[in-house]
Amino acid sequence: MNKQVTFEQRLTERNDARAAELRRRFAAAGVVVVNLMSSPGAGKTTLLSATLAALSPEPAGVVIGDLATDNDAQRLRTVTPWVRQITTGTLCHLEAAMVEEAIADWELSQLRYLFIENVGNLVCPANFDLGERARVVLFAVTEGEDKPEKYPPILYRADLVLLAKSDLLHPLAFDEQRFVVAVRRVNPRVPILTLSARTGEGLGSWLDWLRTLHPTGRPGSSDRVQAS
Amino acid sequence: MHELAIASSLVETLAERFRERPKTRITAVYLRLGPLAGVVESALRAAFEVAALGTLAEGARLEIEHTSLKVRCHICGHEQALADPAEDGEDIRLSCLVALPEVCPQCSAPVLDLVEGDELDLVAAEVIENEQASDVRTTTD
Ligand SMILES: [Zn+2]
Repeated sequence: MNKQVTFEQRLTERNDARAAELRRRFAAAGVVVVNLMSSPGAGKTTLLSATLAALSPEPAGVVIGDLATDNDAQRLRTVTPWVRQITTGTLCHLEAAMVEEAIADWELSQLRYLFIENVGNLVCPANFDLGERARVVLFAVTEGEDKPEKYPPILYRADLVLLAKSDLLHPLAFDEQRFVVAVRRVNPRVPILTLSARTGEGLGSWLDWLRTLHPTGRPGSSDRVQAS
Repeated sequence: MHELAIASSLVETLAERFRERPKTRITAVYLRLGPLAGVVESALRAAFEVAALGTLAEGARLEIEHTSLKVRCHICGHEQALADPAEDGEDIRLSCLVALPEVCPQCSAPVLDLVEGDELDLVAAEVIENEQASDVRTTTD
């Protein structure tokens, strides 16, 4: 005899539960965790190098999801001892259990920030909560103004959008307003910051934003606020 | 192919629920999918077929209900559902943007929040508690 059994839960329930547990651990340890997502080559690693250098001496760690190579991890080891690489093989996204395993032997309370550099992909990571405090989606000026239009699901869940490589805005005649409109159509209220890891432009606002994620956020420690 | 990870998770959830009743067979699985779920239906169907092989859900029918986008005005609270749900996630990525209104039809405020449309839900399963069939199989084997 056929019978209906009710579930009413997310398909990603198992990962969500794991992520919720991680989120509790991160909060208890006082570490702010950022899930950074972009297409391959948009500049996640370059941005993280610059960010970690600028945050120093505040201790920050990085977990990197990569299909195969160890290059990104090698680059970041020059700015922080806290680097873990997750080689995902054919898997196109990170899951909470992988992050949990990668940081298993870390004393989280020693860190103030933990950046998770997700696999370069703007589709698959959208569904997988990693226990982060904030989701940051990064686009590069080189990807064109309309790129955000192709990825509504990941934008919908974004807490911040970064437009990187701003030193190329003028050389490429990038229409910043068109980019902003594309983002706003899916996520009308997400903050958008423009920056360049190469020139340092906009880095201060990005650091300000990161600091507000701490419950004891001190946005006053930046140059922008001091100037006002 | 994150759909494969999602389908595997689905099969594990189903198996876990019926762990105490190993003779249960699942004949249909009911899902709810929103345009912002970030899942392509055809890929999810293919992945489920593979993930279910050799499990209690092997051969089960996937019944997928598509929901539409809903926006809410943050000034006046007016809610509006947008157009018809599209057929497949791949089309929706672009079409939902085109469908989004720029201002609130009630008060003309320029900011509308998406409040529904990211559903990726396991709603229910249809099962047979197949005591007899299993008994017959074990005696004839
Ligand atoms: Zn309104």
